[in-house]
Amino acid sequence: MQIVLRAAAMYFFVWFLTRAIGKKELATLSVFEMILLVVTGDLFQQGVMQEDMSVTGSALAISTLGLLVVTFSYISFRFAPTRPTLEGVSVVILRDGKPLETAMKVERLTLDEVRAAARQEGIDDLSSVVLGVLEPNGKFSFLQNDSG
Amino acid sequence: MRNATDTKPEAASGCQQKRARWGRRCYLTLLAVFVLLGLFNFWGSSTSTVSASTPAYKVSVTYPSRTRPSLPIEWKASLHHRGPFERPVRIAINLSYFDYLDFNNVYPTPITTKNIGNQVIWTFAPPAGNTFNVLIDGRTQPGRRGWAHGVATVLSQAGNDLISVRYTTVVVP
Repeated sequence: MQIVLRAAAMYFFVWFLTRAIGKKELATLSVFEMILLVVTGDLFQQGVMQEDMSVTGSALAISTLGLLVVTFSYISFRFAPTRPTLEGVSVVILRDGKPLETAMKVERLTLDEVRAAARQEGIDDLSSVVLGVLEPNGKFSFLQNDSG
Repeated sequence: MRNATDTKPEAASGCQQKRARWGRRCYLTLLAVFVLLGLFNFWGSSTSTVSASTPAYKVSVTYPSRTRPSLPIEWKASLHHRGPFERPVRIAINLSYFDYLDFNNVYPTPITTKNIGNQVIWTFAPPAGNTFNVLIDGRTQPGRRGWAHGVATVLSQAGNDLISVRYTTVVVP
């Protein structure tokens, strides 16, 4: 019983953590952050399984996480008002080639990072971008005008 | 006929989609049942008690009837004597049962521990009163599974069996 409860508690904790960290950090993990992520996984495992090394225990923990993922996904699919809370929202950071400083400040984004993201999309000039969006998964989307 | 180099998937028919949807629902239901049973400790460890008595002695052993590898176990023997214990108490456990345990300690601490034949024999100082309790601090050995058959025997000073109980612990994966 405790494994199910611990797995559920850790699921909600990690969900809260990812929402608190922010989109940018999730998508652009540095080497240091990657190492932290691996360590986090290890700590997660210790917290959930503790000293239980049984196959049944592992299967229970994994099944609990799987069910919670499906439940969150279903709630988000079925009830639109929950989506911003559960999945986050898209944030417009660039409009008509001009960076929206307030939005970028909230997301802790620098112009250099936006430029780099645009370069990776094959965009050589931000002025050709009609709309730049930071998606809930931390990826950038750039919409260009026809001449761009 | 489909071109061998064509990578585009064929669109699923309505029947296939319906089947896939129901299939997923079945998987999720099974998963939910598994987790719910876990929530109610169906897959967890449980204990049972077995007793035996003679005119002079009564022994009860609380043992893990079902456990999983690496989980702590509850094993406690309670020996009741008709009168006060005047001599040391000797309790024997079969060695094959110990193979399933990651044994830490036994309380109270025995005066002597001997390994004779396929038994571990503990000798305890005569306890005050007419009831003696002994418990094992341990856990199920990681990696072990199956049926562990245990025999706890109270021995006389000469080594004869006074009373014994048998029990089985199921170690699920």
